Amino acid sequence: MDQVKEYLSLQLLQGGYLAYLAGAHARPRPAAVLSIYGVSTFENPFVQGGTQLRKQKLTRDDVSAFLGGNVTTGWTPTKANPFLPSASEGILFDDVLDNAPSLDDRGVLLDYFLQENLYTQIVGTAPELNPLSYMTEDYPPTVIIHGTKDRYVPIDQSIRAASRLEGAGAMVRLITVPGADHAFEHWARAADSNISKLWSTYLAPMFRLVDEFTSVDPGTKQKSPRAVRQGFLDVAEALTPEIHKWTELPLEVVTFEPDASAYFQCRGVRQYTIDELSRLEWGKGDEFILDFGTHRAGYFAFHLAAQGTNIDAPVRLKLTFGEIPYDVTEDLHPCKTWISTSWVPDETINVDWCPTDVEMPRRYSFRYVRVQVIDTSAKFKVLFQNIRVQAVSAIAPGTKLASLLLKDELFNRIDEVSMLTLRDCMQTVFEDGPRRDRRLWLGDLRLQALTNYCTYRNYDLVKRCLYLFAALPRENGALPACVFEKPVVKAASDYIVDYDALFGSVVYDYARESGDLQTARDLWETVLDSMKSALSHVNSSGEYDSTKSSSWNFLDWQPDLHKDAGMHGLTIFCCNAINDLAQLLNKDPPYMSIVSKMATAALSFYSPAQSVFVSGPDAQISWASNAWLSLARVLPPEQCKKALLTTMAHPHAVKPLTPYLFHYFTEALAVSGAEKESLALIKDYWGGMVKAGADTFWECYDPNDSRASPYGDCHNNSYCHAWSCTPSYLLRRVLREYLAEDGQVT
Amino acid sequence: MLISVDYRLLPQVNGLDILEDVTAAWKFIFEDLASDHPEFVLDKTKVIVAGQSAGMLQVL
Repeated sequence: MDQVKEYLSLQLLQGGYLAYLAGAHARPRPAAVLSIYGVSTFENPFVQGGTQLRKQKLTRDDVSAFLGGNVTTGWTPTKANPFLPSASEGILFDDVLDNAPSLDDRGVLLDYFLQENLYTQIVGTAPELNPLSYMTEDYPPTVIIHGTKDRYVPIDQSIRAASRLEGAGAMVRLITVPGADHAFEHWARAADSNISKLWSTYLAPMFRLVDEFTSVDPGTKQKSPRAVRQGFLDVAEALTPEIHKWTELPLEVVTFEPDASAYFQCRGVRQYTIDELSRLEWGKGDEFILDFGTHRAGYFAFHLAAQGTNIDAPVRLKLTFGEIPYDVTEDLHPCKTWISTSWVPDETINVDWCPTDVEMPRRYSFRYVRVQVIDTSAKFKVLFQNIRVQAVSAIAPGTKLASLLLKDELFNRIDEVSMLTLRDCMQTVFEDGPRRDRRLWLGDLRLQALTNYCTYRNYDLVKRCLYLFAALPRENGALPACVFEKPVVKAASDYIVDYDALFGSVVYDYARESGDLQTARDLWETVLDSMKSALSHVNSSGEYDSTKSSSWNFLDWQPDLHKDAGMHGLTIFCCNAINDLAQLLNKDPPYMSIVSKMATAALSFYSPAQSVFVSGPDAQISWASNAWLSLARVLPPEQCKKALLTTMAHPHAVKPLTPYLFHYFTEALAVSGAEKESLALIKDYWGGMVKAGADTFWECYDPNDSRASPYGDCHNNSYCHAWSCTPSYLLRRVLREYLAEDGQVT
Repeated sequence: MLISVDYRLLPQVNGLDILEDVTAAWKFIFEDLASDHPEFVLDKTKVIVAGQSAGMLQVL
């Protein structure tokens, strides 16, 4: 090992592709494969897509000297090899492409072969030449290291190898080096001084891993532990998005006046302009409310100036970050919520040595900021200047999307609010809400991903989230309902049967939308495992029976909901999606017989007398049961439509509490031929939030109660919440054809 | 022990020729080395194979 280390640090190695080939074909198998940004396959768009590396196109004459002649081996001496470290330490991550090989160097062949798409022809297409096809459970333990900004061998090569190996159950570890280009470790060797800790940060652990992998007795080789599928986690980590940052300024200082006609019983009116504010002095007990005009997630900052004879004390301030007027017009404590009160968005800070710049270190999610001066001293007052927020999202500011352009302006506004909701939830994962809980939930992810496909189209963030879940299965292969990113990626203890089952449908949606079938193949075993729990609840008659386990079936927060019928429909829906996914991947659909059995059994949930689906011993009629059994298409659309409309009109039907279930009901209407009613529901429900003043859609909305909360106190509600962002998906995708045919598009 | 393996380069040869070079190297390590160079003793259960890039800059 030490010799390899020494060799690597002295000499350029080559043949990353050969190492993968040896792993595939050499017998006895190597004890381990170490790939340093190696090429794992030639079946790749970079290799086959006519990639143009250099600014000037090469002609055949430029490279003809290297095309004929004798076979050569080994290191080709070059005059100015771009990958050799220069004497200067300052060239770390230098633009190697600017130092492309000169025409005297044999290395120009690479540029030429890529440009002319000649690799496939020269290398050949024999199946044994694609190491990916040989990455089975028996493939040697593999350590891969790759820079995320590699332009000669894009990191996709390593991600594909790692995820293939992981999916096959082989031992694999992908170490990604953020921001590094090709051959970065040579720069690192030149520069492992005060400029870079690359060697110690990435390469040393790489060698430790190789030692670790090769110290396992081949006879008792352990597969990577199921608790954390490190290879999947590595893929997810490599897809961590760049978070865009931009500055936004407050519009004005507002005060809220009572308004009985408003949803929150008040309306904001201007008190000062921001220019006026910058000249106002504030002392003990004073306060004001900033209005930024719209919602964002970001970091609040300002300049705190002081005026007085002596600045003889710190300044104590209380800052409260509000998404709705209640947050900044009422005392948030005591908060009568049964979940943590630590989410309540206020901070008390003490600022020394004015004048000074104050930058709040925590990210908040807000439109309003209430600033309370708790104390200065009798000798001075403070002024607030240069107030700003650094907003953050995985979506770049100013990302322009085609407008929906419907005749009804309310729909256009609903669409805008949906997209803003989604944008502020898209951070390093799809968060459920940037205010609370700021983490990735599987059920929420499905709806965010669907909305994302017809708006921002950030496929990589969905892919990252899929791999995060796949990396963290529970003991029985089931997936957690929720994943924490920090301090280290970890599965939450929460488990929800329906969220688990929905994983396959999220993979199916992703594969269909992105065309990335490779990811679907890698995750196929995970998809099958994720259905096991739901299917274990199906009794011998083919009916879903939630009493078969103590696991949590969610569907909605509504406590009175009887869930068997809804879960029955959801289980069929998920099986259908996975059967469709199988066809996409040329696999045999795994759930044909169970779907057929459950579809027949679904009739036991149907009441022909009432024309609705019912659940439980009391034959409960609910929006949840009727939504999911309609989406499962267990009856012809016209019968589902009738069931849905009857449910809506039924005075005692159990209604949804969350936008999450409202979504599925609205979608069920749309796909059952009740497009008109679906649109009316969007207008009534999400449009109701818009009319109530929503800048982003809420976690929970009750038209008759502005203080409704699933958590006991609306001060702990999230008012920018993932699972309510779907109107854009419904309007732009599901109902699009209907809107056009109905003449509702301008 | 470190064994550095050379191989024939494109475009005068193709992928199968290169695979042949890998196989030849393996035969050298696991068969010929012991007979031709008995002074080198190799733990055959701990042979790891390392490679960088495609040697693409070497034109494979």
